[in-house]
Amino acid sequence: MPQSACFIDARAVSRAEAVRSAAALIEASRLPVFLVRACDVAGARAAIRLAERVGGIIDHVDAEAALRELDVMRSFGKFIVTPNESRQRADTVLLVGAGLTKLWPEMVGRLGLGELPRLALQPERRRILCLGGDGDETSLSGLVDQTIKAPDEALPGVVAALRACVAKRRVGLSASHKSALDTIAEKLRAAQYGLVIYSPLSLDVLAIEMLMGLVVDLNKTTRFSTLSVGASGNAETLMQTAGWMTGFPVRTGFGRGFPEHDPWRFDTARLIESGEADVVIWIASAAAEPPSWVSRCPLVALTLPGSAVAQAKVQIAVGRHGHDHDTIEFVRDVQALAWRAASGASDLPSAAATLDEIATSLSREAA
Amino acid sequence: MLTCLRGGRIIDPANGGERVGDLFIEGERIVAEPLGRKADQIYDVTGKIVMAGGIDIHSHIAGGNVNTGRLLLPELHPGQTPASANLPLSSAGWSTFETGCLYAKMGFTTVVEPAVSPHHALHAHLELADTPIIDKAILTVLGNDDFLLSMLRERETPTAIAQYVGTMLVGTRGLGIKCINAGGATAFKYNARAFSLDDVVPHYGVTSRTIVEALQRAVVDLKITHPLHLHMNNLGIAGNVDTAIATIEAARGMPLHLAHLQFYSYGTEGKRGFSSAAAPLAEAVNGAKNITVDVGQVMFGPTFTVSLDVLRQYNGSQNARPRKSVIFDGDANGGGIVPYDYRRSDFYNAVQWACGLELFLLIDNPWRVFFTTDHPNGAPFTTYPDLLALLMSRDLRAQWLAEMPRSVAEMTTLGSIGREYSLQEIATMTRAAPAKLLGLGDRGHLGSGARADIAVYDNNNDNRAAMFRDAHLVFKDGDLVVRHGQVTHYRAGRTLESRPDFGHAIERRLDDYYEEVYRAPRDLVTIHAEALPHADMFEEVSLRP
Repeated sequence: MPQSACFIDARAVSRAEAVRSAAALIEASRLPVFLVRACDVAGARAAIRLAERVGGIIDHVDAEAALRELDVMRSFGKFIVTPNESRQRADTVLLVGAGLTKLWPEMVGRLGLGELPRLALQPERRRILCLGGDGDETSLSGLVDQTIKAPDEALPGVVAALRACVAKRRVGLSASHKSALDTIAEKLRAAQYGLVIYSPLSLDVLAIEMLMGLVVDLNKTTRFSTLSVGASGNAETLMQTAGWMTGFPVRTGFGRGFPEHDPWRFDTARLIESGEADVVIWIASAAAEPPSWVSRCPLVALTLPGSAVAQAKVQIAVGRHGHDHDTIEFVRDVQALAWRAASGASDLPSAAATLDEIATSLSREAA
Repeated sequence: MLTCLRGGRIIDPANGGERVGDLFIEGERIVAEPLGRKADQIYDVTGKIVMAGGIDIHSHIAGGNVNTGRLLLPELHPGQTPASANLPLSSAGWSTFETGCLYAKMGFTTVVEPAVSPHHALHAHLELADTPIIDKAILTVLGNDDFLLSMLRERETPTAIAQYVGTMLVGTRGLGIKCINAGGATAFKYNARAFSLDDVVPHYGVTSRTIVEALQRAVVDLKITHPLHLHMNNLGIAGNVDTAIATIEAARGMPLHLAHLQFYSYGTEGKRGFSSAAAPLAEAVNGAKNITVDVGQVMFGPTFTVSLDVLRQYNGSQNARPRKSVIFDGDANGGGIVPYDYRRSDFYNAVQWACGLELFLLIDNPWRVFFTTDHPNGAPFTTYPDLLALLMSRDLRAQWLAEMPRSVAEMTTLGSIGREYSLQEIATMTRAAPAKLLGLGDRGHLGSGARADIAVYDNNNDNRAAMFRDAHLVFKDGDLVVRHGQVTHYRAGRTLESRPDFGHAIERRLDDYYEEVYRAPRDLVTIHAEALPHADMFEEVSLRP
C-alpha cells in the first residue's frame, strides 16, 4: 500500500511507524475509547479484544438510536419479523412516522409493498396505512390505503389513541379524528398478518413501547409484528458481536477488568466533554468523517485511504469491508449476520488486522 | 511427550467398566502403556476418579436467539471479578468465553448447540469459534421451512428430500438435523395457537406427523449417525404426555431422539389439573428401543427460555418472569426468548423438577437417557453438579422434596424411587452414550486411540456436587487445561460436522429458490470456513456404515 496512507500529525509515515505510535498513545492513556463508525464482525472482535486488554471502552456513533431500541426490548419486550418473511406474508402494513422510505430507500421493493404476499392464504393487494408524516412518501404513491397526517412530536399521542381504539377503549378525540383512527383500527384487527414499520429516529422509547403494546394487543386475536428502520445496521453488527463476547451491548467499559455496561457512563461524547477520555480510537472501515466533537481528544483514526482526518494524531488506512476484503455484517433482510465477498479485493489491511497489529505492538505490561 | 495419570480409579463403561491403574497420554491421544518407556510427566491421581471428558448433547450456548437473551437480561449477568490476563473475557457473564471455561471446569469437553436455523448458522459458528477449549457442534433445524413443506405438499420423492436435507446440513456445517414443533412455527404465522401431531399446516396441507416422518427417513437415508433430534408438539402443556407417547408410536421403530422429554411428561390429575405422568412415559421409552431421550431437567432459580418453537414461546410469554420477552418471526424459523424463574415454592415448577428426576430414574438404560437441563430452558448448565448429586442420592432427593409444597409429592412418584446412579452409570450417560449417539468414535471413552479428553475428579462421597463442579484435572486433546477447578489457558476447540454424500441435483433449484424468494444468493446457508476466525476449526465425523 502507498506510504502516504498513514500519517502522524499529518506527516506521511510508514505503516509500522503509525501502528507503533498508535500503540504508544493507547498505552499511555488512562481511558482509551474505541469509537466505531463502521466495522464488520472481524473488526468488532478485534476492537473489543483490544478494549478489554487496555481497560478501555467500546462505543458506536449510532449507539443512541440502537440503545433506544434495546431499551424497549429490555424493559418491555418486542415482536420482530424479518423483511423476507413480511414480504411473503404481510397483508396489512402500518407505517409510523415520517421519512421511512428515505431512511430505507429500498423499502418498497424489499418488502414487496406493491406485490401480493405469496404465502398468504388468499393473496390480495396489501393494505398500506400511514400514521404520521406529511404524506410525502412519494415512493409509496398509489399504494397507500389511508393516511393520518401528524408531525413527529404528535406521534406518541396518536399511537396511544390508536392503541385505545384497537382495544375499543374510550378516547378523548374529536369525532372526525376518532372515526379516522377507528377505521385504521378496524383494518388492523382484520389483518391476517400485519406489519408495523417505525424508526427510533422519530419515536422516543415510550412511543416505541406504546407501539409494541399495540402489537401485543393485536396478537391476542391475529398475527402482527414489527420492523425497525433507521438505527444503523452497523451498530447492530457491533452490538451482536459485543453480545456474545461480553454479554452486553455497546457503551461497555473494561476499566475494572470485567465488562460493565452503562449507556450514560460510557457515552463517548460525555467522556470527551468531561475530560475522562484521553484518547479516541476512531474505527471506520467505510467512508465516514468523525464528528467534530471527537477532535477535542487525541485521535487515532482508522479510515479508508484518501479520507484525510485533519485533526488525527495518528491516521492509519484500512480497507473497506465488503470491498477490499470479504466481510460478515448484520443484514437487515434476514435480521442476521451474513457473509459477503469482496467486490474489489485488494491488499489493504482490514481494520481487524490493523487493530491486531496495534495489540501486538503494546508492551506486555499493557496486558 | 508421554504423560501418565498414575493410580486413578478409571471409570470407562465403553471399555468394560472400571479399573484402578495408570492411563497414558501421548500427544492428543490416549495410548496403551508403552513398554520400556518412562513417562515424561506423571500426575499422581491415586484415589481420584478418572473419566473421559463429558459430552453435552443439548445445550443452547450460541446463536442469534441466545444472544438476544444476553441483551434482554443484562440484570442477570453482571460482572463481578476481573479476568486474568491470559483468559480475556472469561469472567464476562454469559459470554462465549465464560461458557467454554465453565464447561471445562466441570470436565465437559464437547457440547452440542441443538437449535440453529439455517439463516443463523453463520452467527452460531462465529459464537462457537469464540467459545474456547471445548469442542462444539450444531444441529441444523428444518421442518418449518417453506422449501421442505412445499416439497412435502407436492409429494416429492424421498431422494429429493434427502438431497435437500443433505444440502442444508452440509452448507450450514451441522452435525445432525433437528426438528422443532414440526410445522407449528409456520402454523403460528397463520395464527394457530396450538398445534399437535395430526394438525395440518395451513397453506401446505401437511401434518406434523408427515414432516417428522420425512425428516426421520432423510436422516437415515443420508447415513447421518445422530438420529433426527425432535422437539415435539405441545411442549409444556398439562396432558401432553399423550403427544409424547403418540410420537414414540409414530416413529414405528425408526431411530428418533426426543429432546427435553421432561417438558412432555405432564398429566392432568389433581385439583390443579397438573401432575406428573413421567412414570408411564418412562415405561413407553423403556419399551421402544429405537428411541433415545434427553431429560431437560428443571432446577430452581432465574434463567431464560429460548426456543425456535415460537408458538410455544408466545404462549409462554404470558407467564414471563420478569414480564418481558422477544417473539421473532424469522425466515422459516425465528425464535422466542422468554425469561423465567423456577421456584421451589411454586407447585407447577416443583412438579416439573420431580418429573425430570422420575424420567432419569425410571428409564432403566443409561445408554438411552441423556443428561441435560436443556440449558438454559430448564436450568443453566452450571446446575449440573447439583443434578448429578441428586441422581446419586435418594436421601438428598428426599431432603429437597421435603422443602416443597406437600401436594408435589402427591402428584409424582419421586418419593418412592430408591434408585441411585452409580459412577459407572453417570459415566455412561454423560460420556459413553453421547459419543455413541453422535458418532464420535474417539470420544467418550478412555481406550487407546481415543482423543485425550479426560476429566479427573476428587472422589468426594459426601459432596458429589463439589466433586463435579471443580474437576481436579481436565485434559483437552492431551493438553492440561484445568487444574484444581481453575482454567489455566485457552485453546481453540473444534466444530464437528457430518458431510453425507448425496446427489446434487437439488442445488440448482435451491439457488433459483433463494434468488426468487430471498432475493439473495444461497450463500445465506453456505458457511465459508475461511470467513471464520479459525478456518481449520471443522472436523468431520464419520457417517453410519
